[in-house]
Amino acid sequence: MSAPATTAQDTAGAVDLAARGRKLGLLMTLPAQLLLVFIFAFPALMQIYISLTWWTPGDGTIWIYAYESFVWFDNYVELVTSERLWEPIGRTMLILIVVVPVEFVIGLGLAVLFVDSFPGKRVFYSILLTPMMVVPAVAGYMFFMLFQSNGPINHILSMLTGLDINIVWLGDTTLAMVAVMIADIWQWTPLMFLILLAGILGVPEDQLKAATLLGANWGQKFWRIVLPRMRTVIIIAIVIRAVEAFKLFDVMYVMTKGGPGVATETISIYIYKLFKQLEWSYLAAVGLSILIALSIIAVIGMTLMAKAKQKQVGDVVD
Amino acid sequence: MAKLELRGVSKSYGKTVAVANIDLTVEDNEFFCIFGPPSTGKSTILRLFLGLETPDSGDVCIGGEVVNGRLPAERDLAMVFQNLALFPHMTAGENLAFPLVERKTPKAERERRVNEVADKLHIGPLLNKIPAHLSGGERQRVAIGRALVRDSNALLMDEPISALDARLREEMRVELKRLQREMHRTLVYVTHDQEEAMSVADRLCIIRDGGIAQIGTPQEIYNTPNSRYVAEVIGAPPMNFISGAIGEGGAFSADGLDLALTFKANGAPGPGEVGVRPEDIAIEREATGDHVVAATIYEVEPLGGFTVVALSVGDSVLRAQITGQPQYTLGEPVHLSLALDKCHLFAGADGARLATGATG
Amino acid sequence: MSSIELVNLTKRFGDLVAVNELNLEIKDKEFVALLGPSGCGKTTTMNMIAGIEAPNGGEVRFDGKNVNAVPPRKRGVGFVFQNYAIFTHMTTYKNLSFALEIRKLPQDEIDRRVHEIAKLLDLEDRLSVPAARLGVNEMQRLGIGRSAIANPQIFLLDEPLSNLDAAFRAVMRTELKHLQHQLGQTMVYVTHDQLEAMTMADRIAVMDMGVLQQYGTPLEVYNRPRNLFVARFMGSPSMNLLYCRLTESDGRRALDFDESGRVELHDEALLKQCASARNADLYFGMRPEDVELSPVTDKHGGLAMTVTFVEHIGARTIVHLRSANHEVKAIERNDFDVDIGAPMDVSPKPGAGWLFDAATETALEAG
Repeated sequence: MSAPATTAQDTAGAVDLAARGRKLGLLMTLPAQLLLVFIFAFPALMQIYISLTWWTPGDGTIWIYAYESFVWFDNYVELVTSERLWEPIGRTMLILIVVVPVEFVIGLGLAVLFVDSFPGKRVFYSILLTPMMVVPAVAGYMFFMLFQSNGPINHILSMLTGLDINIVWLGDTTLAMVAVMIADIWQWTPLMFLILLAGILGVPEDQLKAATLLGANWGQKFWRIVLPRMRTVIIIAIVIRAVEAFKLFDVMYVMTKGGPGVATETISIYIYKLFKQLEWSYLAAVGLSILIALSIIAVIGMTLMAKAKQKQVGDVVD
Repeated sequence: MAKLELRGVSKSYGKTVAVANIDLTVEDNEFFCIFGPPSTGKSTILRLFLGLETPDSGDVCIGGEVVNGRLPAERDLAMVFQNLALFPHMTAGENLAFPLVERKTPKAERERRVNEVADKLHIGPLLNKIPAHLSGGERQRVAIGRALVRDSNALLMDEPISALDARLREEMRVELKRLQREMHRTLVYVTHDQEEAMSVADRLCIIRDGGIAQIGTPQEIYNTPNSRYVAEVIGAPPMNFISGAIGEGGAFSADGLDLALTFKANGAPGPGEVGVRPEDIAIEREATGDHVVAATIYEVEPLGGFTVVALSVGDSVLRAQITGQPQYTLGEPVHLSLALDKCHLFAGADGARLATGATG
Repeated sequence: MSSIELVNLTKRFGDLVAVNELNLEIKDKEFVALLGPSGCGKTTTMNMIAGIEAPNGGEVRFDGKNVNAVPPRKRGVGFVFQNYAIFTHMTTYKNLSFALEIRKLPQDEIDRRVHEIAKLLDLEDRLSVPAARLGVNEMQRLGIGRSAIANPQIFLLDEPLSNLDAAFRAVMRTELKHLQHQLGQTMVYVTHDQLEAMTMADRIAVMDMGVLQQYGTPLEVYNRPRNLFVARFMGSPSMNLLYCRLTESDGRRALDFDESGRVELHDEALLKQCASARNADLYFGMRPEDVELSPVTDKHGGLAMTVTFVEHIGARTIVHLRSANHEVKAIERNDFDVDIGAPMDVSPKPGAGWLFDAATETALEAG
């Protein structure tokens, strides 16, 4: 068997076809990667730096010289021990615990309704999604007006009950929370609805048909087939919403400014107030800690998701 | 046209070995068929030839030259994929012309070749339609035409007709064979339909778990399979296997059956199997002659031109193929006689064929 | 008792009539195949039997009772989907026990029956495996088991073997048929593979474009096809259909195949068919295995044709022949060989052949 003529280029190129592709890919994304690094890493490093000091712009120096007032981890110690931080966190959690399940249940109910077609579905769909598209600050102002003591909500309640309702929603510590929660539910249920609808529709129709023919009624199908298959989606929905809740600002601030007093002061409002009070280094520490906490939540969420995916290895593909 | 070769080629995807140290030669103008069950590396071989994959070791050669480093476009091969991959926004005619447009063939030449191929495939009247308006069989022919329109080094086809219904498949395989002969092309054809493989191939390559089990003409592979695996995988209904023990001088005695045969084999004594094809088993109501085994009718499958009768013999079920439409009742006791010259003896861990043709 | 009756069953999808006034009766414990090309309405018919689709006209009756108004989950019908549709988020065990859990049977009863059916279908050692990890062949058995465990009287299968590899398909055909005998259910089986229908069914209902073409035992449908469609659809390769004209001279009838030749008719069955011929344009049908090929001699009794192609496919050899206006495929033994271009005399074996009226495309009455 005679050896065929091979060129050095041919054999050298043997392993490179895939590598060529990879190199090119890297080069093309380099500008975007650099941009990301600049936008993200640089401020993050800045934040870490400042959080280790006791600097405020009121000092009169630029931030680079903050090292002159290094206090190392004093800020962190303070934020862990100070009550002043845990209260807003507690309030945020309270909102979360109430709001997320409510949105989930309503969202799920709506999603179930939307599985089959009905007259006017498309129109109803658009109406349902509008709250999500309203600018949060505008939504905040809208609810501010709604919940006024001489506003529409009291008016409607009066009409319904026949009594003269004159609740000062935004002036009462508990009721203000309720109002804020209602505003949030109004605005974010559509998102839950969308995510859960996608999850429900992702359940293979064939398996539902098979279940029907095996004698299952609607409820049995829902519990045994639809919900179990939605594990990943449900986790995503809850994690997204939970993380978002920590960022709640616009609606609340416009409605109550954190009031009355500090009754509806969530963590973001608290941070904003720190900012206004120029306690910037403390603020940096707080911000960083929240970031770390949320990342941990996200990681837990993703692990749960990965586990759920494992349980559901996949469907028959022919 | 050119010869295609794989020399010592191996390819793995992570931990899975797709192809292990394969040596393969496809001769010029040959209809070479690669056959095997799904996921055994058949498509990987095509992809290695095409250049969509690079081998981990070994050489891919076209026309005697090593082409490992060349991009697919530089290898001048034409491929028909299983899902056809027709351009949905172009008409059939534009699809056919595409490879020539790519190579900047002048318009007159382009039209000539497109018409020539369309003529051969009887798709002339369809040239103005888009794929969505064509039937499955018509789309198939357009995909094949697109591959034929260039004078490529070779044609590669990955299960091109498996999605068609049975009738069309039978017609298309005859068409493909005819086309390949008339147009003098080298064709490497992958399929998992054994009847199709037998019908079209000049030479047939049986793939098993990323390695070659046997290469030969369809007749060779059918009549003298070199291993139990090859014997089982070609031929429908599949070959029957009777397990037993091989003694001195090639004497075989079956387990649980009153059957003893002698082969001209020199294997060491040990467990073995006798393989016999369904068409080589005859059913008789009376026990005439020797080498006859008692059996009862398990199931009768009338197929019109012939009938497959499943018989329970001892603990196993054997299938016999009888021409015509004989009538049997389930459970009826009968006797089987085997065509001795067509019996094969298999043994060893790899099920190698030791001998064919038994005496009493 | 579980017989099925379809009375004037009709289903429309917009302008398309998928099933057109179908009348069919399936006896208790019978294995019937609905056979036809894709789009012929067989799956729609089966869906109507199951209750997944509602008919636009006509009735579905179980044991004589109209079940049109009975919702699918109450019909007590077992159904195996083409892609099995097993619950991939559950284990094999849970898939099998599903139907029984829905019916709220006691746990130990469920357990017993799950093991029983797992044993029957050879899935016992896979019970705790997540169903998504099963091999295709195991999934198919699970698909059957999941429905069978509730002991339905009627079992519907939608092309259940189409996803299996060829070797296993042959084995499953025998096993399914055997299973049906053992379990004693009425089975309706949808397929486009005439080989499957022939091997498994007690009777075959051949359909095309929503209309029933013929309903009979496999051999009836094979040997005496009612029209050209059935003749072409059954058998692989399909029946040879040769256009010819009926002639009579000296009291002897013959078929004139133009340049290809003339065949004199002596066969009683064929002559009986000729007696009911209304015009002279006919199709002569002969199955490939009934074609006799012999070298051309002076006294040819058959058609003069030339060999165009030879397929050796293992147990048989398919010879393709053609003449000026006709094409024939003949089946010969494994070792038959002939050169391309060789002239051959082609005639039907004694007793073979079946005539059709060319205009109506239906078979002539055999009297």
